[in-house]
Amino acid sequence: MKRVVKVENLKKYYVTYKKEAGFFGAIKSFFKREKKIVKAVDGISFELFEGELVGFIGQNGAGKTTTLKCLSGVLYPDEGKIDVLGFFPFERKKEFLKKIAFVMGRRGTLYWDLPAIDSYLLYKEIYEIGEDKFERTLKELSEMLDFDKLLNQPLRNLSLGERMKAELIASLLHRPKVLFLDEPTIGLDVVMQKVLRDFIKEYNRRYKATILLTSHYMEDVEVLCKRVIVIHKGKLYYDGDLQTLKKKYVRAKRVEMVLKERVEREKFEKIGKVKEYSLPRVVLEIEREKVPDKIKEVLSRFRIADLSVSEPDIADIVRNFFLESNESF
Amino acid sequence: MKVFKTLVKTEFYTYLAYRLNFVLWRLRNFLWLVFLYFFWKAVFQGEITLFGYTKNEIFLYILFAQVVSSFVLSTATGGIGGMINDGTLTDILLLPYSFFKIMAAKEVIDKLVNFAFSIFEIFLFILLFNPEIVGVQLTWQSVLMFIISLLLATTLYFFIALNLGFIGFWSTEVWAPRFLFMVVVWLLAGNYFPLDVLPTGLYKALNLLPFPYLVYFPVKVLLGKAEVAEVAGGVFVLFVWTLIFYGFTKFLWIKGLKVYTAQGA
Repeated sequence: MKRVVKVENLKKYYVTYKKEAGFFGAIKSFFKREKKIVKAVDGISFELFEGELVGFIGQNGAGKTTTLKCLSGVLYPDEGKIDVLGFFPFERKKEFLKKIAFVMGRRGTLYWDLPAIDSYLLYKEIYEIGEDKFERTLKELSEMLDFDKLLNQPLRNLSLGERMKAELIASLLHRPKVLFLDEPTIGLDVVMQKVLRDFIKEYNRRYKATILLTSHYMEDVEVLCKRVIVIHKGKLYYDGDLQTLKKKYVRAKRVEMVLKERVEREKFEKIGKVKEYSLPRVVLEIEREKVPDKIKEVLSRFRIADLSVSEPDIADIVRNFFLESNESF
Repeated sequence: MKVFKTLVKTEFYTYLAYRLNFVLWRLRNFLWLVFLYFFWKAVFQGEITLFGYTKNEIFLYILFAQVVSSFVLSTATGGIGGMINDGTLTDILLLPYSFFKIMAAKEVIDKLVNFAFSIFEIFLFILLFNPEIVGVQLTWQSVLMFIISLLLATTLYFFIALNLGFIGFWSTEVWAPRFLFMVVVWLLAGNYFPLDVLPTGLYKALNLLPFPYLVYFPVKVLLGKAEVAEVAGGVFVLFVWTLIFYGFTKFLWIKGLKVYTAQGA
């Protein structure tokens, strides 16, 4: 497989100034400011290969977005080496920028007052996309996202989800080989999240694009990514198969049931960890190995209307992971 | 070039979206013109010439200065500091197209719209106040030199304004310096009076700065008030200042991008 991205010991520190609260605090910090260095990214290394769709996960402030900004050439790395498609991103060579896209779910880049098509026509010129390719790609993308009827409406009249579709189309018109997606589904409803998720998957498949994706919705990562990179406070903690990560850090399963009779909370506490107790619904967390026995016990002791066993959320897994890492690191 | 044209077109569409803001800005300029007219009219009460200018020449100067400054000193770069601080600069950085060309396209639109309005205002002004002005004798030489100096002055101010915006890389306080600077520029560029009414020493010192070349110099050239040597010398100084600020702009841009944090984006 062709290597597309190589990051070696990347560091990016921000200098911020502490400001004390209140009027006198403001005056004081005018004369003497206390410097504070934030290690947003603190020596991470990884590689991405052609056609990979990798999830980039970590808590808020872990350094995900900063890494993506360094990879797309927006930020100057303080230390380390970055190679994306053979380019050093910060140089922002035209040929480089024409092959990548960086989509930020939180912000729009298109002209607010104009219909999307006007912005697209401008992008067509800026990215020097040929007439044929432009028509074809626009048709394909807007059909995939069901956006064709909205092309001529000013952006301000569209819903958040529709605007996100517009942004995605805009950043894919030039068919980037490498795609950095920062929270592409943030703030969208479940249906729209699924539409975008399917679309990202399809784009990855159809154009063999390499995609690095961050998301707060663990479902995005679960559905889309085989491989994940976990970072925390600027450091890389895990890089590998999502399932392996899950197996290692999922020690418990979620057992959800609906009761036919009233059962005291205490009785469940003897069986497993009670995550939720709102009759008739009860959710327990039970250690992986003990699940069959415990279920048998539950079924024999109480009258149950419905019962299901599921894997916990990735968020829980990541939390477990850090709880454990903090001890060993 | 096609990119540039498309950019200019797209920018023009968005311009129409901020009509009120623009109309208020033009109104401010128009009121200034009216104020200056009455000010100079009062000063000339009973006098024929003052500071080497006749009443007619002063009025002509003010009118032309208004048009020239609407072209040279209007700028779309006012938002750069904000773009740096709120991270919207990121969007431009990701495009495979020069930041400077994008700003230039915005600038062209801004200038053309301002210029068109100022012409309209001048006609409105003449219609309303009927100032006693006699036409000026334009020669093709003075018009040619005027166009050259106008273009150079416009380029120079574009670079100066970009530098002001780049303060945003190092500070979140971008409005105060900009506002202060604007006041200084409007005064020293000769928007309100021909600069040679000032005491000779001060006037000579002022000529070492880039400001007089922005408005005063082109207007003087157009009105045929400058000698050939003065015109040639002025164009040369203007050219040198433009080069200096061009270098400064490139330097600050490269330095600035290295400390750019893209916060908020």
